[in-house]
Amino acid sequence: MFRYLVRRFLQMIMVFIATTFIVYSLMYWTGGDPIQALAGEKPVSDLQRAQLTRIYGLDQPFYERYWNYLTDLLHLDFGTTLTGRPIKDILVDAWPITMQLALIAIVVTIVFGVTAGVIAGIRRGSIFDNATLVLTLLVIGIPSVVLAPLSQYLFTIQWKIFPTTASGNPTWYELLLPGIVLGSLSVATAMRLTRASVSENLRADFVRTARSKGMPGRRVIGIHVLRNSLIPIVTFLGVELGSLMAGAIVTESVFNVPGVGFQLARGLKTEDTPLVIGIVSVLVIVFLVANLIVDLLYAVLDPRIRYE
Amino acid sequence: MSDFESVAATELHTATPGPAGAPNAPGQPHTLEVSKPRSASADAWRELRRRPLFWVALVIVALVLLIAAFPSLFTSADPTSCSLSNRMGAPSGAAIFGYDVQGCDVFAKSIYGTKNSLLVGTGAALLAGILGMLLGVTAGYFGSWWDVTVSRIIDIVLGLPLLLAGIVFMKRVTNAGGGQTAILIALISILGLLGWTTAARVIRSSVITAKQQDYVHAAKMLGAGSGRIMWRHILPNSLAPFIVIITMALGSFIAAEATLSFLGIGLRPPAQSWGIDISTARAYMRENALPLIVPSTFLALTVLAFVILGDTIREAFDPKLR
Repeated sequence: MFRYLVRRFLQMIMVFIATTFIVYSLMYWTGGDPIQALAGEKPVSDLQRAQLTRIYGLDQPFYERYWNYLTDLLHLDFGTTLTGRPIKDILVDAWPITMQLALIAIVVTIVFGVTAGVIAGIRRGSIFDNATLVLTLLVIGIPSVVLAPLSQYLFTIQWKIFPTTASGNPTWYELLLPGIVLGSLSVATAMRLTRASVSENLRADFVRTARSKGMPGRRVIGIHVLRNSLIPIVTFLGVELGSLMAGAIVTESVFNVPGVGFQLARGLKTEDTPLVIGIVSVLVIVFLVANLIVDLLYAVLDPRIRYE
Repeated sequence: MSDFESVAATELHTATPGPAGAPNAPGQPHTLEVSKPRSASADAWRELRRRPLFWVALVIVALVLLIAAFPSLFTSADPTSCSLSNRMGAPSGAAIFGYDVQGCDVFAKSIYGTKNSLLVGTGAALLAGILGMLLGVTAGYFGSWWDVTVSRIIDIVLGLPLLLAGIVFMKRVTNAGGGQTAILIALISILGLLGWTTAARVIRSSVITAKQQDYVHAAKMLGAGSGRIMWRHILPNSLAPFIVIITMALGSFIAAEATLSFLGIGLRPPAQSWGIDISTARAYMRENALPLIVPSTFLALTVLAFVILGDTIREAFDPKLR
């Protein structure tokens, strides 16, 4: 287990360096003149240009600049936006809101996806099973650029059930619809995974043993089947975090939720490259760490998995 | 479970050779068919033919391809000739879904937007398919350092969520101010370069399993070269899951294009794209919802058709899922 931990950690460091390198070199080769972008419409004199080039370290070679970027990242310094606000401040404000949204999304995924998956897995071939299968297919196929605006139109304008947009300091109620929209993207996959693994585990030897020992059905399902069926779902939820964050960009900008995705969309709209790069770097790191945690949880959940 | 058993039972039943009688007797041409064991793909095709969902998806895909190739067959209106006097015009005989905020024909815009979506989707799927197949097969077949390298590259690419890396890359391209063609090529290459990993992983693992099969050893002993073994003996066995993944990826690439265009870093307004249409219509949806609903429906149906197509093919090839 310890050897696996070390190996997995080294692997994550390698992936981290490579992904930040890709993101940084893309930014480095970005067309346009960063100093002119900073000055806006005003002309920049040669002296000012030379000074700003020094201050921002633009005269340093590529590798040195990448190294600076990397060490800044590790010191949790994500740079400043074009308007001079530290990106860290923006993130500090935006994270709790996105986390609230993600929490609603995950609760929705678990309540609807996993529950429906368990029922469908136990009653395979029933009407419930077939109906949910077709329904999940529909949900998988509808991208968030369609789902978010359409549900906003239907549930806030056509039928005024929810507020159309969230306020600067959103309440749980305001976040409910965006959270459900965000969660519904992964409900379908969660349901299918649960269904497949529950129905596979129901056929397993250990379940038959438990049954023949005279264990009541509820206990067999709750302890033997569910615990083992949880394993692929935990991995899925971790990996899904990436698409959840990507989906949050669209959902948050549609519903005006001032979270991380909203800030990213704003950075794109206002051509604020440092803000975009800063947020993307943070999201990539969050994604990597989440994957690492998921891999470790794997070993805790499944006693059969013992890494060499 | 019970239906799985019954399927297995019928398979067994049809696979048993017919009762005594000359197999090639004239009058009984079907006996030969019955006694001959069917291949896995023929089996899957029989299963697929029975599924109405498969045919629905196939018809939608064919229709969407037709619209992309010949948009003028479906509408006589020009999506770029807009007149502000038609602003938010109600549906009429000339424009069945009315006009949008700029006075453009809503239906015509969605019809002409199909081409770009499919171009990006198929282009990216093709690129991802070729990359995934080449790297997956060679990594699985040759193993050793090449396998390690490819696997690490896969880890790195998987560490970059598709949309996030797409955003950084497309930001760079749109900052550089390329034309529509440059943006299209950029979209195809970034989605293709980020989307090949799942296909490569699946191919790699099925190649590793296939490599140890007797028929591969036999082919090797008969003197077949690496290229021939990979192409003729190993690849056909990994083809089914590969096709499924690529079909589903095509749907997600189309959705990603719409998302990037929606965020303003994909195609730009003179070009027709469902993502742009949805993004502009959203601001005016209180006034008129049709410009939002029509491109949304086109996008959802297209993505849905590819996802369903992939899903039904997978179910047909995987008897465990039946």
